[in-house]
Amino acid sequence: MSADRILFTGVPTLLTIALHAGVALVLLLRWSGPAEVVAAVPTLQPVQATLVQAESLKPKPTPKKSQAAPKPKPKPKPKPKPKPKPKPKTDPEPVVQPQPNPVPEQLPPPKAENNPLDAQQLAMLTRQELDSLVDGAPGEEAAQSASMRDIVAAGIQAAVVNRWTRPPSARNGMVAVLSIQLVPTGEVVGVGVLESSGNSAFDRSAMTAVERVARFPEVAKLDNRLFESSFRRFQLVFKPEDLRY
Amino acid sequence: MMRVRGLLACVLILLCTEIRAELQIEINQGVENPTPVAIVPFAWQGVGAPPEDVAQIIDSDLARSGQFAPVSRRDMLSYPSRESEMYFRDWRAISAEYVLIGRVNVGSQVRIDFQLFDTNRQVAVEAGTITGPVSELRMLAHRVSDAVYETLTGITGAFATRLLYVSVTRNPNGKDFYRLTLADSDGRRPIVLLEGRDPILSPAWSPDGQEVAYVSFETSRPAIYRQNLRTGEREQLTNFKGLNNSPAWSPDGNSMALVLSKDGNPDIYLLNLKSRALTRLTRHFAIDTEPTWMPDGKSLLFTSDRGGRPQIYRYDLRTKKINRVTFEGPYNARARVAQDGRNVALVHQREGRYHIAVFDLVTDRLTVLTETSLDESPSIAPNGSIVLYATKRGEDSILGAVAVDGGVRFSLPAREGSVQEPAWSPFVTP
Repeated sequence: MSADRILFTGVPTLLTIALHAGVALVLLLRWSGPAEVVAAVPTLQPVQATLVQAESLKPKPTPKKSQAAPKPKPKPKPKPKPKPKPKPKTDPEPVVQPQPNPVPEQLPPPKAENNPLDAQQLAMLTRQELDSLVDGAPGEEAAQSASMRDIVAAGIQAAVVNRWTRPPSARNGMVAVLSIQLVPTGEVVGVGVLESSGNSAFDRSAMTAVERVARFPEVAKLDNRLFESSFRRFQLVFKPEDLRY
Repeated sequence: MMRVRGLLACVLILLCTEIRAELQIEINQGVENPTPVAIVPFAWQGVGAPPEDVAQIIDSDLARSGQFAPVSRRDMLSYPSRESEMYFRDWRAISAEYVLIGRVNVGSQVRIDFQLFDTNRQVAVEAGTITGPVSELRMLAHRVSDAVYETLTGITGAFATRLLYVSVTRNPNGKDFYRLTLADSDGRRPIVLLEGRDPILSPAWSPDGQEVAYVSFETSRPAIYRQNLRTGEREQLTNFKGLNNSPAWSPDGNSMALVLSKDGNPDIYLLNLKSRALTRLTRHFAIDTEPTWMPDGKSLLFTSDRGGRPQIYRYDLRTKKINRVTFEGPYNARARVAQDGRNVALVHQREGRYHIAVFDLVTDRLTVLTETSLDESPSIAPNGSIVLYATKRGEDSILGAVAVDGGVRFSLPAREGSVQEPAWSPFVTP
């Protein structure tokens, strides 16, 4: 009895906690990914795989929601845990990146039409992909795209720094967050203030800096997946640190 | 199957995080490039030729600030004066980020309508109307400059302010000739307030900008006077034996700090302008001079050589305590505090040369602003952006100006003779 209890409540709880910790670890490590590989254009295999998956993904989540939550959780635990250790930041990328667009729209509607076949195919694809991830090869590609992203982000940063003229009312510690929208050529098609610094001259100087740049040519070299995931829309945080005060 | 579901759950969690966490890039640095602006000639709606080129006045004001690079009129493809005539593409083609257009209408009064456009976003960011007497057209133009400056920099403009300075014409055959002059902040429209063969020193402004105080030797020994700029009314405030010097109006306008040597050597005194009561603030065998008020009126900075060399000290009016403020270099004197109560402009000696420097009261950091070698008498613009000072050019002194952040330097045209002791007015309500 007590053994069962531990098995059915204690163990799942522990596993759940472990899973969350694993996910958090994966995410944390991924954000601070150092640019180790300065590499060629990544091939698109992971992208395509996940795109297919994304479409058929909707059936899957629904059953999960309706069914018992604790059951599936214990099992995935082994997966995410081993992954972060060998190549922490790389793992989530291929799985995660391509989906932001399709998922939010498609998740809600399909609830009713739960197609088991789709689910099966999806499961197969997902498993294949995850297995290949664990094997390591595509993981390296992910690392490459992560470093590509860092390189392009650094390029964007440098371009904006060079065009940003701070108004004399700017003070260290002021923060303005802009939302930037690009098209795949790297051209800026939208600039908006997400968080104002409270100083309109400061906010305007930040927007003007982006508009002076007008186009980030390095973005045009990116593959579609990386562009969609990171650069179609991103945020610029203007936070001067080198002013006299 | 179960395994896959679990993985999917994991994927979903990651997904949600991914959607929320948009890529963020931080920008922590910038450059010091002047912003290109186009000041389009204003349309003139009046009889005859316009007495002043309003757009040119604004153009010069903004250029002098160092923060703007006005576009040459020759490069402008059109001279719009109304929003309907604005073609943003034309202005972006010549890299003008902001365009100012306007109309000057003269009737019994002058009315200036202006609009400032952001060519990147293609919107008006500022619009306004300024009215006043025809004789004040230049001052009205400066007020347009102030509005543009404030919109684009976030700092109040100080173009519609005035300067006070003393000029000396050397006379090889006899006594020099002194003039106390009032001029616009661009040095134009000088008006002589007082002139004669007796020295004039230490001009200072009342906090409301309606009166000035100065030292005149007209009674053959120094005395402090105050003079109303509107009525011309004049009053002698002190007539003590010895030095009567360095009047400094308190921020509330009720009292005046000054330097007297009637009790021996120069010390700082406080004169109550209503009761005429005189209070001695410092009592030291060293020279205490050049008092200046902190903007909150709670303490005074002054120069003293009580430590052996001239340095800046602070006198706290409540505790009556004196603390030394500057320690860097052998000579720091003639402090003037900016309205922020933080930046202090002073004369700093380095390698035997006298430079204008700015001392930060919060960080205790001293920054030398000028490269010339005999700079004296700094005075800070009421918006804290520019320090005006006197410097030598050949035999004569001229007025120099430097941005507090060190970015830009320029000199003001000297009419005649040597120009000394500039004093920048406070903000004056029109």
